[in-house]
Amino acid sequence: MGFRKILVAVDGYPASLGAFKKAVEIARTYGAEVAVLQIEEDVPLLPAEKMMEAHIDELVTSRSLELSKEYGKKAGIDVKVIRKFGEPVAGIILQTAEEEDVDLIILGDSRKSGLEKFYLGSVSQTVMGNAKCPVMVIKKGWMNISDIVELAKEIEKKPEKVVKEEKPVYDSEVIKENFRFSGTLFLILSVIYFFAATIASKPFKNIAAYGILGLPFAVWCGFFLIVSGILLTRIYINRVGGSET
Amino acid sequence: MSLTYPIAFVIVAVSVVLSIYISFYFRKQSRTASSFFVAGGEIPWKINGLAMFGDYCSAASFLGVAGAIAIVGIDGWWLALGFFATWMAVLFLIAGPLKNTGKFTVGDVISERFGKSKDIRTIAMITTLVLTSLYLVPQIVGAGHLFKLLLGWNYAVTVVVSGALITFLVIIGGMKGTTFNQAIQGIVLLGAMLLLLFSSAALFYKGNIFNIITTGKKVVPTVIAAKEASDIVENAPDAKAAVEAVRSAMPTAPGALTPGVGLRDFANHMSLVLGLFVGVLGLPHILIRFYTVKSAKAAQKSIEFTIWGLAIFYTAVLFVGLAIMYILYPELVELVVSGKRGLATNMAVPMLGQRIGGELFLGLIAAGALAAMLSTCTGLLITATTSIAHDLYASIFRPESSDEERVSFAKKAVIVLAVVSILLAIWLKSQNVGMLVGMSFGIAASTFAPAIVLTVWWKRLTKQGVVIGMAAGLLVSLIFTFARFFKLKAFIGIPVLVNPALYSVPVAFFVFIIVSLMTKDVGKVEEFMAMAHQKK
Repeated sequence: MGFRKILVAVDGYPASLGAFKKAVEIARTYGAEVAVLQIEEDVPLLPAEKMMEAHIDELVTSRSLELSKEYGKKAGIDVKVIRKFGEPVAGIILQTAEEEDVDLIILGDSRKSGLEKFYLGSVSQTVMGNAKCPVMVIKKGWMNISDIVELAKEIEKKPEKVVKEEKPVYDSEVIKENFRFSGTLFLILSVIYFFAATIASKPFKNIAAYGILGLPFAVWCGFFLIVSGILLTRIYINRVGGSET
Repeated sequence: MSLTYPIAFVIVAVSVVLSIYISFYFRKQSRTASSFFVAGGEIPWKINGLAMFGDYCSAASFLGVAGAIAIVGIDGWWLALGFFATWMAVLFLIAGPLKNTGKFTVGDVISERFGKSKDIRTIAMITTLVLTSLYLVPQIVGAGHLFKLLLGWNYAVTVVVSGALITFLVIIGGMKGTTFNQAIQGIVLLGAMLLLLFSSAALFYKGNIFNIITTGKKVVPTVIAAKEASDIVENAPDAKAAVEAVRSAMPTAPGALTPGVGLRDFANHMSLVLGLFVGVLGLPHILIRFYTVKSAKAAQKSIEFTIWGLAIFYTAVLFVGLAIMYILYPELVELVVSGKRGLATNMAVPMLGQRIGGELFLGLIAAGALAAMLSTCTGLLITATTSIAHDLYASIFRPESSDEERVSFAKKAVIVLAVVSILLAIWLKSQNVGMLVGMSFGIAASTFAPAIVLTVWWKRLTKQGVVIGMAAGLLVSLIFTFARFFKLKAFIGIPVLVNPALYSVPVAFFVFIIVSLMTKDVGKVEEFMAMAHQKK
């Protein structure tokens, strides 16, 4: 009996770090492996919304995976780190548990209450309700995580070891090319817009009222503006998205 | 006219609560669903597209445009075309560079190039506050008229109550799940407009939408009938008879589709047109929404979704406006004759709802209108909050403050903003909400718009150019906005127009350029430009 492989989901908040510490303890007892999962949500939230959601608790670290790797090394435990993107969070935890073939999931519960809980829900409850293997939930404050917090502070001091993204090089040709493209679209739009606008002012009201196929010229100008707007947007989208994904 | 509609009011209240509930539900699902119901990332771009649409279409679009068409005919449509075209100006000119820099607020983009400058942050913050409060005014004016219609209360009371209610909703629940809420409100307001279009076509135009156009050509516009034939309208038994009687009395008068009735003279018109076109480039809450989805594919799709939504909406508005004029002819003429043009122009849309489907429809349409106001208000207030917390409190007042303190300070500041807007709304009650929104576009066009366009495209722009240029644009546009509010004909000999843009936009660009050419601090221009303009 015992455990072979344990999955812990971390988000950098105290409750999840407590869960991680518990996972390390259990892993040492049973000689199990620990898989640490971090999920980056991909919901279209505004920066300010994210800021307000993050207010539930005090964030310990933004580099959870690095921290758990380091802490595991010190404790003499094999820590496998997994980073995933997307949503729903609970669904991804469950899926990862199956992929990794774990026999225990440990989660932190930050004990959100009232409106927060109503709004964000409880990931741990969903995982408990749907997991095939045992699930252990560690409530905030149960574990003493001062050693992890200390380690986190040390790690935060070190420069982040992310793969340095290549700094974009200044190239005046690219700027010129972009300017030609954006400028052309904007110019076409401006010409159509200001033409339609001029027609719709008092000095030109006779031209505006000139009937074509039963409708005044100004109305046709309006429809033309709408249709060409859709077309111009298409052209823009095609170029911008052409080479990516 | 005593209008008290408890059922409609209940529908409105329920719809507000329901939309907050649904948005919470979706947010929760995005964390706690155990299976992947979001197939292939479809949800984020649809949500974002709808949220963009909901954010953009404010009370001005929903109430103001159709209302203006119902009073003056086709000339009222111009505002809708302006709102439509100007959204694309943002897309073509600055959306790409902004996405590349990874910064979304005007202050952040400018600071990225010129460094953390107190002067830039201060002027950016003041401008954000001025824009937010002036943009809130038309939303509150719209809400005030709406609740007056529903509850029969005095206007000032409803403005205070509805303004307070909006603020309360935004602070308590609205800022949570703003994105999801705006998406739902986008559906509600587009749905409400289409519901009006199809149901009025079915009931009054034998099911053919194009009959709205052919009939519209015969109707003598409301303003003309009110001025010259109000007695004929009064004596007619119903709307159809009134329309025909006025037409036979005035055979040569223009129809609702004849341009010229509500046209402004060249200077006034161009000022409005310019303000609209350049203005959105400087509206902080619109910019921020462009790149909340991560992948390029999702971003494209949400943009395309939005442009179709806008195209359909602003076309539908034309038909609905013409239908209102025909269907509610006697009521509108009477309102204009008795000097209640503000009520007529802002409340024409819900009045049509009531005519078509009684209190039930009135409630649904009012819910759509309120959705338009709320989604815009939340978008505005959440942007203002960020700016206050970030640019004012954290950068200037108390750099050592915690996040918690910043947010709570910002929430208090939001209340102050709301109070200012409510007072302005009481003062400006007879203005068309569309024209009021146009004013804030004009101010944005003279401040943030040149700042952001020049920052991402012009290498010679300097820090001093930004600060002094924005200050000059803000000053000139505010002077002419308030000169208009005080109903001045001219200010130091210069005629006051419907929109400040014709003066303030050229002044702003001129000052930006001249001061830049006279000074040297171009910021980290190469680094910034390299980031903003990467190879596609």
